[in-house]
Amino acid sequence: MKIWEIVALLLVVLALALPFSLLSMDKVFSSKNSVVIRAYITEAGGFKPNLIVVERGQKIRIVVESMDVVHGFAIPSLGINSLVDVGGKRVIEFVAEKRGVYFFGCSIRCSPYHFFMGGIIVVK
Amino acid sequence: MAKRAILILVVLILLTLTASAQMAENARRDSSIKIVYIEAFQFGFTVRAIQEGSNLKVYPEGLDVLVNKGDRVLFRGISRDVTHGFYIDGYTTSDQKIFVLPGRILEIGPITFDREGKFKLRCSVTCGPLHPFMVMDVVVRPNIQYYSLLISTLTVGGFTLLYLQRKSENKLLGGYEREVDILKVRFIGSILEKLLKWRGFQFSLILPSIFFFTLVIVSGFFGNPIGNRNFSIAVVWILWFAIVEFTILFAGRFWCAMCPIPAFGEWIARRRIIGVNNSINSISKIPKIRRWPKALNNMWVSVTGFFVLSLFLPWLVTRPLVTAVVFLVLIIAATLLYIMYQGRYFCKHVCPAGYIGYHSNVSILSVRSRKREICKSHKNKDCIKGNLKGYGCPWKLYPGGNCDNTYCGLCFECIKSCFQNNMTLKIRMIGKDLPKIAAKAKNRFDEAWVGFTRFSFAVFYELIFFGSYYWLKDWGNMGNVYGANLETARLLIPPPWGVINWIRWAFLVSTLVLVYPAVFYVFSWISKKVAGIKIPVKQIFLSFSYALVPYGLFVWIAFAVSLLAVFWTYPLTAFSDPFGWGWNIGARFEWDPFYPELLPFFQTFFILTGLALAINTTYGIAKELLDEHKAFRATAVMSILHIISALILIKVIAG
Ligand code: SF4
Ligand SMILES: [Cu+2]
Ligand SMILES: [Cu+2]
Repeated sequence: MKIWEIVALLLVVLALALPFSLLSMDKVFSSKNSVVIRAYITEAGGFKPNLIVVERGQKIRIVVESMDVVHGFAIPSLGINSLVDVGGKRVIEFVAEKRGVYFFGCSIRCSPYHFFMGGIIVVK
Repeated sequence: MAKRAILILVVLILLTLTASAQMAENARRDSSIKIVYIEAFQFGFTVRAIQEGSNLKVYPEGLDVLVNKGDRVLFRGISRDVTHGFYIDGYTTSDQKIFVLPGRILEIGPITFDREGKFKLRCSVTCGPLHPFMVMDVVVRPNIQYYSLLISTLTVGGFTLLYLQRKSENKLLGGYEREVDILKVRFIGSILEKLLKWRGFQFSLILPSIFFFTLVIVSGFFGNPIGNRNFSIAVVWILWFAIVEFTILFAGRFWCAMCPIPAFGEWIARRRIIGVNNSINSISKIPKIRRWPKALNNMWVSVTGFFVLSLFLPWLVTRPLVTAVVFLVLIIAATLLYIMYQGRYFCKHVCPAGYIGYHSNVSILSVRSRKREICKSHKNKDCIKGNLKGYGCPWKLYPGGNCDNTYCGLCFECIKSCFQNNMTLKIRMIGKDLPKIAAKAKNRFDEAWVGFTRFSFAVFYELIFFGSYYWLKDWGNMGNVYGANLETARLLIPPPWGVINWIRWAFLVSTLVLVYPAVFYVFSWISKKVAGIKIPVKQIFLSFSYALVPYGLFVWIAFAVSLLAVFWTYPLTAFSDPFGWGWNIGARFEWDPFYPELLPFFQTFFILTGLALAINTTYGIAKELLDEHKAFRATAVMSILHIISALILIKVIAG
């Protein structure tokens, strides 16, 4: 009889712990081999991450996801601009040929602080 | 030179001719087309202007789109704030998402409205926490659908009254008294009995819900701040909520058997998870001071909790953080109360979901004793005291003599502990015991208020969540457009005008739970006068209020049906992406309502079933209190109120 109590207790602990471990498994389940940028309105943190550093000549694969409302993802100097629906994904691939700092920003109004929503890609 | 001048002239004339022909053509085309200018915003739509031919009408604050059958309508949509979507039930498809982008004019259509009825214009692009409830009515007149539903309501009401007058030996749909002992049914009976007597049964129900509840709390704190993308909201307030309404109908408080909220307290108090700790079975060990206070021996705390949560409902059901915090608080409270008072007092008297118990007397399934006499003659009532096989009823009932589902949590301890094998599960008619319970209810204002609150809120929620009144939603939402998890909790601080509007909303909601009972009281009084009853109005009022047990449940089922039909994709997607981070564990579903244009019919079906049951139950209650003739008259008066309520609901849904 006692053994069942212990098994049950372990199962309960497992049921409690599993959701927490899921929380730390973002790397496993989100898009692999690419930089995932999650777009929140500026008030909630804007683009996460908003600083990306890459080597020159490297092929970059960026997956943009909108989390709360529809955002746009634009890299003006590369002529990239696309709408990102909530729950949808936009894959952007390009080769960073020139050294420098590339600005990216949100191109669709998403909140009163929309214009402050941006980030940079640094090509070393 | 002259030649050239003539040439230019000819060309000019030709140009103007074609241009004017073009314009005439345009005018002809436009004259048959209505252009409706719609503004979308967080969280609603409004008609700004309607253009018919050259006639432009401006509406500063137009609520619904009203068109006539056969109209060709071109929509021009603009957005006031962020990107929204555009979807009309039955007229557009969700395969092609329509984006109403801020700063641009979007043309949709022209759509030919060839079916009459009420359709909803819904936002199809996630635009914030209240996005799922961003709707506006599109009414295509003549609204024949609505009129036919009104007539059906009257017909159902009338026929139910006629049905009541049948001769008592004419048992159409009768056999009301029949019960089936399902533990004696061939094959499944014995298997089921083994299962219910297995000590691990309840644990195996609770274990998965512990996992999901923890996931609800974790994703509420750390997941996506937008409700419909977060497991906590999508699963709790769409899936769980809707399924529970249905479970009540089939199995009463079955949810309470698998609820993780009181489980921890129970296990700690028992110092066992599965087995029986016989030493705690002797209740006498609990000191006197720790007896559950008499003043709380009712559902008042529970109704108040339900009411308070309702005041914050637009937050509760759209903000993952709020849901997580509420659940955490409930678990802590339940655990502490269980340890203090050794019993499911939290569940009986405190839990805001206590309404599940209130409606449980509708349930087809109930735990009952096989033979009362056996229980009566059994001195050492094991179902109360417990033994080595099972605990004494944790809900502090006397299971052997119980004929009321309200406080029975279907934990099946009594089935385990009864060594006479006298406890069983029975299938019966809907609401079989209700008339007796209602007739005996003395001063149960608490239960009556559960009924009133639940019923009036069902109507109200249908109106605010799926109706056009965006400003009402905004009041309840405190004018706050942000979703929130732990990290963005500060965004929940509402603007000052939002708080003022919320006070108005709170006032409105509070009036509702007073006005409906008041009307109910008036009708009870009239029925007393009409039927010439001697019993005090108070008793009639209280007893008749139990008609809301089936009625309220079915009205909520109708609400649940629309939740499931419109939002079924959210919970399913939440299982493959619990935190709303774009994971792909399982299947993803794009938002795609299930036959939303037929929803009014589905919903009316449940509402009218509820209506028929309400009238029938009222008659049953009246017969317990009065002779047949008076009972019928009293029932007739009360049915007027029930029919009116149904008509109001139909108006909200289809009018
Ligand atoms: S009463 Fe509430 S807390 Fe108790 S089991 Fe039922 S739902 Fe859970
Ligand atoms: Cu943005
Ligand atoms: Cu919207």
